[in-house]
Formats: sequence, structure tokens, C-alpha cells
Amino acid sequence: MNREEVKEQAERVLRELAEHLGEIELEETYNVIQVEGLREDAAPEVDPEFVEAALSIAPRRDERYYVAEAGAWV
Amino acid sequence: MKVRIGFEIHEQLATRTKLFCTSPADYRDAEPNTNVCEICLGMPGAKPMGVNAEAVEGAVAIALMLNCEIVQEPVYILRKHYDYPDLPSGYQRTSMPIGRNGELAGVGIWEVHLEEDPGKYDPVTGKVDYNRSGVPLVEIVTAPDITSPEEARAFMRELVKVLQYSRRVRREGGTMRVDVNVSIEDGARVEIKNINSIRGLYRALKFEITRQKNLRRRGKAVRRETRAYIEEQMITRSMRTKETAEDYRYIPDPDLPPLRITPELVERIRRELPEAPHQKLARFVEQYRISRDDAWAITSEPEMADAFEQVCTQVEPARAAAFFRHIIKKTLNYHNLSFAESGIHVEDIVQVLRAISEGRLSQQAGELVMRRVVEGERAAEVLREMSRVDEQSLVSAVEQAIHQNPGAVEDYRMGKQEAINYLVGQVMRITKGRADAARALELLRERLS
Amino acid sequence: MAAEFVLEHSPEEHLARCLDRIEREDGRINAFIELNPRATEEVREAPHGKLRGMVVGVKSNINVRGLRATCASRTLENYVSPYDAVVVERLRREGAVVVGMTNMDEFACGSSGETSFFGPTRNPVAEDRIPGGSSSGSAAAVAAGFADAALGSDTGGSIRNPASHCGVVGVKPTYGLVPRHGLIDLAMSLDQIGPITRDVRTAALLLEVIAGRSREASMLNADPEPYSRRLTPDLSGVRVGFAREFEELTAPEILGVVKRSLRRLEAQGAEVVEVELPSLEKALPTYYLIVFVEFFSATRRYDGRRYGHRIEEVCGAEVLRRILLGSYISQKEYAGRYYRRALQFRSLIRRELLEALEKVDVLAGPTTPKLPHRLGEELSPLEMYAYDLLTVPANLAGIPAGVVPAGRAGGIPVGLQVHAKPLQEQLMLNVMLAAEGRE
Repeated sequence: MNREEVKEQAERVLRELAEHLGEIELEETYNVIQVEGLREDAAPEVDPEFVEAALSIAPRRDERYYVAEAGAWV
Repeated sequence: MKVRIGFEIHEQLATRTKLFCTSPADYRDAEPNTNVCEICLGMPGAKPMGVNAEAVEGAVAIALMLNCEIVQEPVYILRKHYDYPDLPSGYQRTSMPIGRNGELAGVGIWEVHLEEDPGKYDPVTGKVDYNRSGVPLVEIVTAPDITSPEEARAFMRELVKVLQYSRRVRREGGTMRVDVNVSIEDGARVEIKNINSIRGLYRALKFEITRQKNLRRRGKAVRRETRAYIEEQMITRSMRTKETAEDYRYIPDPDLPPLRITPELVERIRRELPEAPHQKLARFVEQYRISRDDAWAITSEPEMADAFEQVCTQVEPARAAAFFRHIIKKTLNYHNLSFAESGIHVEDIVQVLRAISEGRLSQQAGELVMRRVVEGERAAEVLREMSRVDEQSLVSAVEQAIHQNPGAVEDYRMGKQEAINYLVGQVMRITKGRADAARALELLRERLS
Repeated sequence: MAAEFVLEHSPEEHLARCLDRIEREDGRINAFIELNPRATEEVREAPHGKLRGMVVGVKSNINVRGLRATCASRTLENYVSPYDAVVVERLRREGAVVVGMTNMDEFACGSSGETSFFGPTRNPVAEDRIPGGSSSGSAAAVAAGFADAALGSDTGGSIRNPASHCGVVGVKPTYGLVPRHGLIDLAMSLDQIGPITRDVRTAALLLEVIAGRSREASMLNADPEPYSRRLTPDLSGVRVGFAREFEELTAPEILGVVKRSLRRLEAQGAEVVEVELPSLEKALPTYYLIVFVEFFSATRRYDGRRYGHRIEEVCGAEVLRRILLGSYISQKEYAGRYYRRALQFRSLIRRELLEALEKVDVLAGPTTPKLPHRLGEELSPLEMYAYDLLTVPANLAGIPAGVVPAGRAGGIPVGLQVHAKPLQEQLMLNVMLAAEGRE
């Protein structure tokens, strides 16, 4: 399936879902259960093994740097 | 034509850990990409930890010092989506306002909120360093109450001072970033990004106001757009217009429960709030009986004000104040350093002031000592060295010691090595202790060999 | 009853048998994307915890250090995970061994197991049928005896749907009970990790190991109970709700099996009561609109810079469709029309479910409205979405739901789905145990 077909089908999907959903008059939107969200740390931590493993899978790198290009989304 | 200027100021908070993980927030001495974990690298599957309490308290303290109301309702953390190599998840987390409706130096503060810093990207080499990614930032948004580049500069200086006084922001410098909104006479609003110094801010505004005025004079409309400040050329350049403006697709971050800033927390922070610059200034005038101008100079930096108060426990305040305002400020300006960066200790100041008051040191020489302290020496050493007798006087003191102590000379020549120590002692006695003992020993050996 | 995993053979011997079966049969079933090359070594060094020797498959969207968490997508074909998910750490601490990474629908976007970049998975119980999805490989691996248990993830039924089709047990816990750190997102406000096993007791055991608070930000601060020790099939005084709407939406051959299962619950002392869920039909569009937006957000990191491929360039049609729709409806001008409206419906559905659960202790009913289709049969997106009709409400409401084999229809397994109030996993597991009818 090419991109255009996917896009057309996506539009159909959205139309049908929205139709099926219908209208609603409700003040509240879904709210998460509220818990205390603050975090107290003892001291900073670094896992050198993780650091090396993470860097090793970078598709492009220069020494200790990731190399990337600016671009834009779809 | 009436100019309206408003700011969005970002500064790093001086926390130990990052906003959503326990990686170190201080990355200055770290190798690139070592200060990271799966969370601040935005790796697949990584989830944020709870929000760093230190950062929240920092933002609340700053909001209070800017006379804001702290919001009572839950503070949601939003995802702001945009695509840039320094943003590892493709979105930046930014909180809803924590403080609102504040005021500083006659300028309205619209809001204060928290954000996470992205990594660092060098567009020339393409190199990305994520050490900075996830460091907490406080963002301050002002009302467009400022009307000239000069006012802007004065306000920013005041704001920087307040942030420093809060003791909640990084003191290493160079981390502040400012976005500026400028409009003229109901014209379109132009945003300038990429400003990171007060000098840059002033120059960018000068350029941008002239540019907009010129457009108006020629009968052209100012476009609503975002421009970048180009530091090297002191100009602004268009980045994007309203038509191509980014849609950040804000959504509340489903990974994070909203923050609730309790009245108890606000009260605790309010109780522990450090003195604001203007409060400290008034207190100094009152308590130490010094002039407003002296107090203004001394309170320009919280670390300097602290040092002044410590010096005053040992030295008469009026003399200390004059020394701070005239000698220390001048020395710092000369080296383009802040007091915090200068390495000056309270002890250095006390010793120099004592030497001056005892007549051992002139005012001018005092300035010289301070300069050497800033360059890395300690005042005690410098003073000792400065008070030493010169080579010529030392030679004659050595001669005199030899002449007056034939017995010791004889003992030494007979092979009694310790006798020379006695002679060094005599040189020190003759010079009233101002001789360099090692050099005296050298000269004695030469003369007696 | 001892709350630990019991083996007939030594852990090494047991693992060898599983590996042998995988070698002989997984070429056909395709339950695994990658096997753990260190499994034999790890089983020897495994700590003597309560899961000692348990052979576990892990869905390919859960990070296991050193193995690839591909999400069955070309996007992450080279992503070797540098860290363990919290649930994986907890499994290891109790002596379980990860045998491999299981197949799934690409980025968990699917209900059939057919959208994997690594090829579809077969249903081991009915090999011409789909196994369901998206935790297709996890359910198939357990059903085929390749592993004692597997971890799956459930955003709108991805554990329960394949559990039902493959005739195994699957549990989606209360939202927030099991840490998600290490689970690659489909939709963050809906995703939960849960166990897939051959019996309820093992599911209970696994759940009590992986559940409980961690350092990640959570919507819930709750710890598990010792479910496996407290399990009982005695349902005296338990009120089981059956919604009238289940009847209207479900194929008759499935309903038949489910109703026989309800009779078993009555025999264990339960009282079956009819309830209403008038907005049940709204759950599906609500669910998908929320998924599109959250999934779009979650996929922004696959920009091609750090994992090799840009997702939009290499993903399959369903993933691309969801990203495009998420991008479209999360724009400022449309947010009110779609996303906000969906969140309002979500609120309504949650309220309705919780109200129904005020009148009864659990809700029991079918898992999917239809039987699994034949492998390769083409379905439109909406026909595919329709599989999720009865599983998405639990995710929307954040409540626990589990599936237990209830019988077969034309040789194809059918699972009974049990919903409970938030954090009522114990009661839910008890009802599942009664339905299982083993003791």
C-alpha cells in the first residue's frame, strides 16, 4: 500500500470514528488519579555501562558525540 | 512611536539532579554524553521519574521573589512537540504556570514555570551532546511593559540580581537564554530568539527597533514573525513567519501526574526566602550606617554582600564599604569577573584592610594585592612578600650578622653545620623578620665558603 | 499453598526442553523474533527466588538489556537495549530467565499479530488462524509450551485478545500497578504490562512479582498483595455482572461458551446479575482517537537520527495511518473536535463502568466479539479495530481485566473476560480461578 492510499484510508477511518463517537456535553475531561508527584533525590547517579551501551548503538557518531542533522517532520 | 518590549527568560536551576531523572544536573566537567541515562536520552520505553522537588521549590522561590501568586490548582506538565536534533524525544516537557501576576521594578511578570533543557547541538559539525538534556529551567514571562533598549537593559540587570539572590539558579554564568517580543505602535509582534547576554539583548533591540521604524517610515507593515539574533553581526534575521509558525501540538504528558503545590510548601519556602536585593540594600544602610551608593555597589551580587557582612565582624564598616565599592569592584570590572567567580576570600580582604590601617600598605598597593588575589594568590602571601627587605638590605644584614658573631662563624668554619642556623636567626633579627630565610641561608653559605 | 514456581526438572533441564521445543516448532509458529543467547548461562546463575527456573518470553516492546527491543518494526531493527525494564529486573531478581523476545504487531498497532516486520505469528491451537494481538508471540509461545509464561502489554486488549484466541490466561492490571519504565509506548495513558500464562496461579505469582511502586512517576501508589497465596475458587457472596450490551455485540458461538462459563461461576457460589453499560459502543472510537494522539507523540523520537530509520519511511500501513491521524487531530485547530471530545467520552465511560461495579463485584463476559480470522484474510482497518470493542473499556477506565480459557467454539479457544474495580486484582483472579475449574 502506498502512502497516498494509506492517507486516503486514514481519512475514511477518522470520518467514521468521529461519526460513531457523536457529540457530548460534558464539563469534565478524563483526569488521572492524583498522587503526590514530587521526587526527592539523595545524590546524582550515573551508570557508566549504560552510557557506553547507549552510545554504542548510535548510527552516527564522532568520538563521544552523536552526529545528527536538522530536518523536519512529515 | 511607542515601543513595547516583553521577555521570556530561561535560566538553569541549581539542582543536584535533572528534572525527571537522577542524572547529575551539573555537567560542566563531564565528558560529552556521559551525564545521561535512558530517561534524559529519551530512549524507547524510558519513563520520567516524579518531578524533582528541588526544581519545583526553586521555581516557587523565584516566583515569590518576583511577587507572583502561586497557583492553587493542579499544574499539568505538557509535551511541546518540535523536531530538532537536540531534543531526544521530539518533545520538550514544560509545566503550566507555577506563579502568576508578579511584578519587578515596575514590569509585570505574567508567569513563572518549569521546563527541561534540551541537549546541545552544533549545526556546523552536527555534533550533539545530551549532557544538558533534562536539566531544569525556570522560565519567566514578562508583560510588554518595557519601552526602550535602555530600560530593557536596566530591567534585565535587576532580574539577574534577583535570580542570583534567590540562590536557586546556576552561578557559573552563560546559561541564561532570552527571547524578546518587540512591537511598535500596535504593529505586529516580532519575536527575537537566541539572545544570551544583556549586551546581546541591548544590541538586538537597538537593531530591531530601528529596522521596524524604518519599515514603518517607508509605509510598510511589520510582519508577525520570529527572528534570530546573530551575535557576530549584531543583527536579527527572519526565522519563520506566522504562516509557517510551528504547531507544537501541546498535550498534557500522560506519563506525569499534575503537580500540586500545597499551601504548606509555599509557606515553608516563603519563610526561608532569602532577602531580596532591595531589602538587603536598605538593611545595609540602616545597620552598617553606610551610604546608599556604597550599599548599592556591595549588594550588586549576593556573594559580595555576604563577604561584606563577614568582613564587618572584624573591620570597621565604613572603611570596608569604601574598599568594596572602590577597590574590589574596580578589580572585578578590570578582570570582567563576578565576585563569586573571583576566588576572593573574606580573609584576603580582612588582611589587606588591616595592613592598610596599620600603615604597612598604601591604598594603591592594596589594589595591587587584590589584583594578585584575583589572579590566584592569597593576600597573606602577597603581603609577606611585599614587605620583605630588598636584596641589597639583605646582603648588608648578612654582612652585619657575620661581623657581629665571630664565634658562630668560627664554629661553622670548623664544620659545625648548625652554627649557620644561628646566623640565619641573627639576619632575621636584624631585618625584623622581613628577610627571606632561604635566601639569607644561601648568602651566608656563599660568604662563608 | 506454596507461593512459588514449581518445576519437574532442574532449571537447566527445563530450559533445555523449552529451547528444544522452540527449535522444532517455532519455525512454523514464529512466536520469537530473537532468542537470548545467554539464557543457558543465566539459568545456572539465577537466584533462588520464587520464580527460580521459570522460562519467560518477553514482548519485543519491553527493554531487556543486550537484546533487541524492535517492536517488530524495521524502525527499531537495530535497537539493542542498553537497559532493563523494571519488570524484567524484578523477574530476574526472583530467578526467572528471559528466553527470548516475542513477536507482536508492529508497535503493538494491531489485533491479529499480522503486522510484524518479522512476519505473522500462527495460532498454535488452530494453526490456520491468527493468534490475536498485539502480544501475539507472547500468547503463542505460552500456548505452544515454548515458555512457562510471557510478558505482554495491553493498551486496548493486546494481552487479553491473544490470550482468548490461544486458550491461555492473560491479565491486564489496574493502570499504574505495574511499572511501565522500559515498555515502549503505544499510548501512555492506556498501556499496562501484564502476565500471560497457562494457568491462573502462575499469572497471580508473576503479577505479584512485577507489580508495585518504582521510581517512575506514577498515577497510583499501590503495592501488590500476595495474590497467589490468597487465591481461592470459593465465590460465595460474590456478585458477577453481565452486561446486556455484551449480548448484542458478540457472535452467538462465543456467547454460548461464555454463558456456560458463567454457570460454572454460579456453581462456585457466585450470583450472576444483569447490568447496563449504555455507552459501551462509544468506547471504540474514544479509544482510537486517544491512541492516535498519544502514539503520534510517542513516535517523535524515531526521527532516524539515533535508531537508524525514520519511522514514517519504514513502517507498515497501520502504524503510518495512526501517525498521520495523530498528527492531524492533535493540531491546535482540531484538538477540541477530536481529542478533547474523546477525553470527555473517556470520562463518561469510566464513570459508567465504575457505577456498574458499584452494583456488582466483578463484570464477566466475552473477550472479543468474534472468533479469530484465518491467517492472510484481508480486513479493513475498522473491521480490525472491531476486535477491540470489549477490551478497550478496561483500559479507558484504568481498571483490571483478565482472561481465562472458557472453552472452545468449533475448536477455537474462547476466553472469559473478568473486570474488577481498581486494585481488586485478587477478587478478579479468584473469579478467573473458579472459571478455570482446575481445583
